[in-house]
Amino acid sequence: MSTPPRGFRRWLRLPRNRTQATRDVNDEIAFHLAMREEKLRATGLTPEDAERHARERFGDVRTVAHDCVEIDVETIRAARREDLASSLRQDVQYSVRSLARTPAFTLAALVTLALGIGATTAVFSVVYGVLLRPLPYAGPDRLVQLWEQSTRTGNEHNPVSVLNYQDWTRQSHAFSGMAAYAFNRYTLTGQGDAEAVQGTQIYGDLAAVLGVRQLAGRSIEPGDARQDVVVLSEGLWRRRYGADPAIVGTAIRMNGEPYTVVGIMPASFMFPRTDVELWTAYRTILADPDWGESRGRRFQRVIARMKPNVTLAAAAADVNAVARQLAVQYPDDNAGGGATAVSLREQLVGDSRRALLVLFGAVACVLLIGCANVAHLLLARTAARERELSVRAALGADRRRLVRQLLTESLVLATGGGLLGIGLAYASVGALRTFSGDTLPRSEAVHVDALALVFCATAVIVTALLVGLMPAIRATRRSLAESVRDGGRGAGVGTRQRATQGMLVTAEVGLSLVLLVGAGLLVRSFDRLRRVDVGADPGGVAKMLIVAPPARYTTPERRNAFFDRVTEQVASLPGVTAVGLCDCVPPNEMRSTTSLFIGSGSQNIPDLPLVNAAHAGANYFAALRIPVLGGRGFTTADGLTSPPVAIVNRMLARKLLGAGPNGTEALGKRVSLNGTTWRTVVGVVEDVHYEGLATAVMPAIYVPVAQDPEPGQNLFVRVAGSDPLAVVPAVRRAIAGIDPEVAPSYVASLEGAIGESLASERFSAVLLGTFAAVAFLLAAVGIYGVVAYGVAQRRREMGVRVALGARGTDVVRMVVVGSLRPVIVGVGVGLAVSMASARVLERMMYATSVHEADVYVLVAVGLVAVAAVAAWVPGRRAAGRDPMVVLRGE
Amino acid sequence: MADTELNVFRSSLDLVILKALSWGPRHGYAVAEWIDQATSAAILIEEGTLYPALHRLERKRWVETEWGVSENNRRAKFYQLTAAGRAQLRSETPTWLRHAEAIAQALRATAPELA
Repeated sequence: MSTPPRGFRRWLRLPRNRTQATRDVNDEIAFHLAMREEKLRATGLTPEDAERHARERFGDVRTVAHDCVEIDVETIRAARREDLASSLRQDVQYSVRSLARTPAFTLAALVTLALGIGATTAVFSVVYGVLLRPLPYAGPDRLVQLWEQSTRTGNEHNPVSVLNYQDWTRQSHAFSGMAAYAFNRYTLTGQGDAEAVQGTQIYGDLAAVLGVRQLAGRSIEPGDARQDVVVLSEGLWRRRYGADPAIVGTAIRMNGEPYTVVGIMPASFMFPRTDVELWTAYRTILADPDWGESRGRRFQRVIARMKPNVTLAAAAADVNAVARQLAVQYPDDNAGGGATAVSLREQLVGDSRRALLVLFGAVACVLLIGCANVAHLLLARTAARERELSVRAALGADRRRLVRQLLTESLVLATGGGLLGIGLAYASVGALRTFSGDTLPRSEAVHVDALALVFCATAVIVTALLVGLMPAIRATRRSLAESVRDGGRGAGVGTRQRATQGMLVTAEVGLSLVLLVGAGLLVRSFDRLRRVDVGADPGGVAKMLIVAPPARYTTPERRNAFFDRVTEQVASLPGVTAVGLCDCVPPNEMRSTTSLFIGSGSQNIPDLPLVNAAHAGANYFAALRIPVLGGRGFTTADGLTSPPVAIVNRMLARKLLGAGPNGTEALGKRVSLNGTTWRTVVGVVEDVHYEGLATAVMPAIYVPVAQDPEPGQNLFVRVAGSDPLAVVPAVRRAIAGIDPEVAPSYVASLEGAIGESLASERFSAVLLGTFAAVAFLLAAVGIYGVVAYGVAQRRREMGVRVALGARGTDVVRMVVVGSLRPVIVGVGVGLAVSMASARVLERMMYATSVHEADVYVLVAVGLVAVAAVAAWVPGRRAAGRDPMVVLRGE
Repeated sequence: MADTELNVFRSSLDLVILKALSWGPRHGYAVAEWIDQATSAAILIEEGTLYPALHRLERKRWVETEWGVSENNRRAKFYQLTAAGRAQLRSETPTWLRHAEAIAQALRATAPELA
């Protein structure tokens, strides 16, 4: 501080406040008037005349005084602002200089804070993007998804059949608009290679419901219901059609039929999923009585806009009333039926909310532990500077100013950490999006934006207060006498400081224990899930969807011929050992759940048991190596003209057909899916997961593809080598050779698909595991730091003890035991908090209790052990020193 | 000059005040007296208007103030030019002179067409 800043000098001469300014102004004007009067009196005027003249010449005293005071007040304010800014600048400069003098400390603190703030900001971005960012539709809060419900299956969210949907639109009152949609794959031909893309068929005025605008042309409208029209996504339009605006109005070939392009949707329109690239109307659905005129065929999703002033509960009640009426009217298809409305946001976010909030809590814990570490570093640092601070205080430095100085230092640190953290957040949000893959709903809405930066700034300020306030207050509260007395060669650390550090250790241990327990539970659950036997051998199998264009393969015979040729030719490719067809895919694609008629049982539909029903081709069980427990698998002999047969899984055989453990007693039993076609059970196969590895296997029945050939089938190709995807190009060529308008889609290795089905569990487990590991590491470093510092402070004391005859091991024990006290307290608190809060994880657990004792014990023992080592190392080093050196030294 | 027409009077008064202070610190009354004599009482119709102007100059940091004792032993507030105020006076004076002379010349014109 060489010269006082300019503002400083001005400050002394300025009035301090409005009162003083008013007095000054009045004095100044009074002086002027007095001088003028004096001069006038000297010219011979009477005092009265002089006063009157002086006032007349001056003008309106009150206005002038008022104006002057206002100007002065403004001047005072400006000077204050300037004063504050310049002293802040000084504080910052001082802090930066002082931090630069201790680069190791500064680096450690910066890295810790950057990690904490960066990770917190990144996870905040994800949480905000997924859970909070408004949906990209007009009035998104009015949008709801409607579902059928069934007391029979216990399903809360069933898709909706076409006839039910039509009745809903006519009979409900709570909605200003409703639209149904169904996913479908389309193979694009003409112009370039055949390409399979994801499409969505739309029924109703979707654009009006969502309130979105198209890029060109129009969207699918109610009048299109029976037309072959298509709306392209901007991405598809650019990729495949060269962004040609003239395409609107022309026809393109899809699934072997011409569709007229009527519009293009902007890239921001990602309804209902990000992978959908075109939208068509309902012609193919309405033309097929099985789909369009069946009340029991539930496959549609329904989205609706609630009328203004209709609450979600009222909307749900309205549609439920309609559905209950329909259940009474059509008991065969709708028995036990109802309906419900779920807000679209809730629908999209679903279960990820819990996982994301758990992650956010975890990352906040990491930040808190980081704060505790940095707070300790700062404590140690200010303790070292205590004498300087007390001297400054004794010399008259304002205590508030000293606190501000120290807080500025922590703010500078936190800001530095925050800036580094932003970089980290940018990098890790990208990584998070990649890593989360499809498991994160709305991941397209996740990015580091202005709001995340605001969050980051808030985190910086909170962090600065957390790490800085305690050291600052503590450092300045000590009296000069106290610190001069034990400064420098003092006998040790004051008990108050030791208590503060004990609290920091307790907090760190407690927080990291909670995190570790949570991560341990999740990892254990994930590990158990990973080990679940899918029921098939997925290694070396590629799977893909093949759709025979319904327009040309109009009869079951033609479809059978097509699929026969496909399986034959693919099976003859070099390296292929087996080929199977099925309309389901383990572990999580099941075609339908339906009622099963059993020869001897009740024939009243509402009483029938529900089973999974799939179509499987000859060799499906062989290709996937699904064990056949009794009887046989399907063969090429099971066709349209041969007797109807079925194969059941072990669960169905045992539960519904009264068979023993191996299910073989089910062979020969008669069952039916529709009450008219009766099938003989010719085989029993091992249970296979089709509804996710975490869900118990349901009774399942397979019927031969050839006896009821749907146009879409999954082709499973087992290869001899290790990489099943290597065979895909050859399969593609073989299929194109049979029909150039058919292209495989959803190509994946079966093993990969099974791994992918656990992606969201893996996401939570890996992320929480990572955060817990970082927390653990930070806590270990923190404990070591605190103990090492404490030992350094007590070196003299220990030297004295050794000099007085204490053995080294006793000293080490004293250090270790002393430092473990706050650790044990932390473990106790952490265990209690974990036990109480573990329920949060309950719904994320698979076959794992949130109170598995060994996880708790392992984590607690592990933490204490690490803490003991962290305490032992510095204790041992201190005890090994020559006491005389220590006593003389410092 | 950035001043609008409404401010012409105000800024001319500012300049004259700066001039009044160019010989050293004065209190407000002395500034008023000097301006009265220097302008033949043409600018300061009401002396009171001087004070807001002085305070505004302080706000702009062209002058500094200090309480002192007047020639007849009264407590008075003295105004003094700052370096910025002196610089302002130096740079604005020629501009004003040119401006004033140009206007005077125009107003004295006797013929519609100039030769």
